[in-house]
Amino acid sequence: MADELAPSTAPSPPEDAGAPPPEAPEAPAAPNYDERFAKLESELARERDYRGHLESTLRLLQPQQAPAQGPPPLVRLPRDSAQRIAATLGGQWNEDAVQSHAPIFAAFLQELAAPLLVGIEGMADAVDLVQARQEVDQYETIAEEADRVRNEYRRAGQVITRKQAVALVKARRMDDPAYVDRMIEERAKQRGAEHANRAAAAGAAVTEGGASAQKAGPEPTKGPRAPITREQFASMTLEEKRKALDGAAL
Amino acid sequence: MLGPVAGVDPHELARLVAELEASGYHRALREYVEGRTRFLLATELADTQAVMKNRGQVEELQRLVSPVFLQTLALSALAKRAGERAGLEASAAADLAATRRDWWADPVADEPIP
Repeated sequence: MADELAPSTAPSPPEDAGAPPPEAPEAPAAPNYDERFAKLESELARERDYRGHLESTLRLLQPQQAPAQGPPPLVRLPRDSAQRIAATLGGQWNEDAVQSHAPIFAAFLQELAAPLLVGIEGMADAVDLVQARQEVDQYETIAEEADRVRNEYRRAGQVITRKQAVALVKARRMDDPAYVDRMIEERAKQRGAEHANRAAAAGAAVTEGGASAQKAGPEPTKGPRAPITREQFASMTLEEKRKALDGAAL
Repeated sequence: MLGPVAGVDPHELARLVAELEASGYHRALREYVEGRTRFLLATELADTQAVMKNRGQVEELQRLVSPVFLQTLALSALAKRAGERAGLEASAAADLAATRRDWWADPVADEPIP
């Protein structure tokens, strides 16, 4: 704004025309108002666009407002259900009559059965959570994503359990080769640990009780084999040498 | 000890708890908890950490069949219904306020003269 006012507030030349003007400074060139207006208008248009973008971004970032509270819409049954009920009741009942009565029964059910249904739903949800936590390995690491998947399905009108959501999440993750590599590495580690545990358990079973406690069946009739000297080996027959070397590791 | 919960009819709460307890779902839940607890208790574990985890799981399951769990569910259901009722009453009051007109106000006078 200051630069717009500048030309109008420029100092006017002095009035005393008698004396020659003492080397007056060069008068500023007349401002080109058309050009300035055009420039300002283009700037305004640009700012308007920018503001529009900002407002739309802000609108997207804002939490979605809940729909306006109003009376709930009247319940209408699906046509098949209405026809089935009319057929069941018989007599004067037809589809229109059933549809006209549906809101009444829905209101009664809402009043009488809703708390019970909510309670059962809560029970089912708690059981589902406990099952998932107990039966899915490391559920905590996947819980957040599984809940997100469940919410997506719920918005689409389908309810799935947490275990189903976990399976879906794992299936989606399988597309990532890095995840598959990590799974293979973990599995290899698990198998290594299992082998080590099994070997340790087997070793403990042999040493803890000793040979006599662990052996099943009759006592061996022969004593432990004594080491054979070189002379004894040389004096053996071929058959005896074979027996002596049976099972020996060279 | 703490007295009745404010805003909740204790008779209605007790009735809802009894209804929940009598439901087939709760019976199935009890059977599931008993079976799973038996399985967990019968599992022999050598690792201390696994034993502790097992014990925690048993406690978690026991909580599902405790009366407090049902009371919590019943309370939350009643609270939800109370919230819905309050919403309906608020919308009805808003509608009434929108349609209500003081006797001295003349809607015809507000219309533009053709």
